[in-house]
Amino acid sequence: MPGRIAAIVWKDLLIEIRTKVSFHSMLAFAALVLFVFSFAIGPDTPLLRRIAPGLLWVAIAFTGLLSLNRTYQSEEAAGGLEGLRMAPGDPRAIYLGKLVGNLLLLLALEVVLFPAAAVLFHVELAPHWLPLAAVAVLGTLGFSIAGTFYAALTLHLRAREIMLPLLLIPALVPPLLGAVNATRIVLDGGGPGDAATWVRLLVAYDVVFFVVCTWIFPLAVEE
Amino acid sequence: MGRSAPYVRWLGVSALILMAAGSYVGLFVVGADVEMGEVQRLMYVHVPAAWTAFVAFFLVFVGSVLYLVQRDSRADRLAVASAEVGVVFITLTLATGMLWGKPTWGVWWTWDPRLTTTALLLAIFVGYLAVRGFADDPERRARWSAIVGILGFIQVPIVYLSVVWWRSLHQPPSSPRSVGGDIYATWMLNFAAFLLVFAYLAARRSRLAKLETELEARLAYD
Amino acid sequence: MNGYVAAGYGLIWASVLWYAWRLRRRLATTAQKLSEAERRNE
Repeated sequence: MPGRIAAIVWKDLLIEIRTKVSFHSMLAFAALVLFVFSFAIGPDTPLLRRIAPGLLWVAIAFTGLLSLNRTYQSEEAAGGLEGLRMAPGDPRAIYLGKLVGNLLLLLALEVVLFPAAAVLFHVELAPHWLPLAAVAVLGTLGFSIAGTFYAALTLHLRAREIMLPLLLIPALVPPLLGAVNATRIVLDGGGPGDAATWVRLLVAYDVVFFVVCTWIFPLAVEE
Repeated sequence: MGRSAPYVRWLGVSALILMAAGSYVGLFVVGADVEMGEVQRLMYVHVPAAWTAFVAFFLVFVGSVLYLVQRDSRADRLAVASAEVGVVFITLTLATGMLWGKPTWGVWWTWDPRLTTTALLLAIFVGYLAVRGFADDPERRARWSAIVGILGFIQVPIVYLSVVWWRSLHQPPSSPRSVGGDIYATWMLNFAAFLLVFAYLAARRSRLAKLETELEARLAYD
Repeated sequence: MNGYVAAGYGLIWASVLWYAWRLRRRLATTAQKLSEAERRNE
């Protein structure tokens, strides 16, 4: 099974590296979201600085939502989900492979987006980059776990474009709160102790949803 | 065919009577709270409505699990009926909560953990019903909504905890006042009434689900 | 009586009665369609 997971990740990664379509458009979209929020809220720099963690994670969430729609798209076009599913072995490999792929893509986005937000909102990143990275990974993991699952579940629903956000957004409230607040505490110079509650929330959410979603995935995609 | 069994009709009559009794007691019998005044009467229905909504939500979870395990359409009917009637009670919980909040706090909405979680609970229920609305194949509809129902149920305690922590950043959690026997009895009376109302409406909704499934099967047969 | 209280209790009664009535209509309509389908199937 690890082999299958790696194969799926590698295949999607190759497509992405060759075309770079997803990454560039995601980056552009995320930056636009940050801009739109800034225009909507106004050039009150201290205010923007205070809400920067929130704006950042909302941008990541919206961008992730759009990119989730494409998670299974390459399979769909080639009639592939059937092929993947009928291949011998656990269908869970599909979920885990797609999960890792989505995670890596979003993390790559954040490597650029965090500094971009730092520039736009006058935030100091450098002294806190390590705890920030940890929070980013935990939060993005939570998003990817739930997102990849609901993307598969809604694949064949009518009005799929609205159903995925409708189902996913309530599920993302805990990791969103956890990521935003942990980010804010870290950026304000708080130590690991201060962010502990939120980190614990992120870890608990990631563990619970990872276990449940992985376990129940075959039921979501069975014929 | 559209009429329910006699016991269901009796259920409905009892529900109506008990609900009338509960409203009468809440409005005219129990003394208005000395501290909070007349508006506190809303609590006599808001709290039981919330409890009923959670029962509904739990039944969606039970129906969903049973369906996935047994693939019995009765479990599926339990889930959809509980979900639809649950939406009614969730909405009433929110509405009565807001109607209580406006004169009490001066605003229609606060980010109070319970109110916020209730709003998200409504979103989860609506999502569940939307899945059912957008899935045409009966088996997939039952299976996918069951998964959504189970995940939704798991989400709720996590959401509640996160919102409590989020709010505690800005205000200490309010200490619950101890509740007098009168108030508790009124809660119980209205809770019993709402449960009967829920049972009656869910039974009717379940019957509708059964008829709709039969109709679907026959139309597919054509 | 306090206006908010009246609105709250009124809303509860109105919603429950309205939903029960809606169910009754939906049951009648579906039952009718089902009878028609049964007749056609014969």
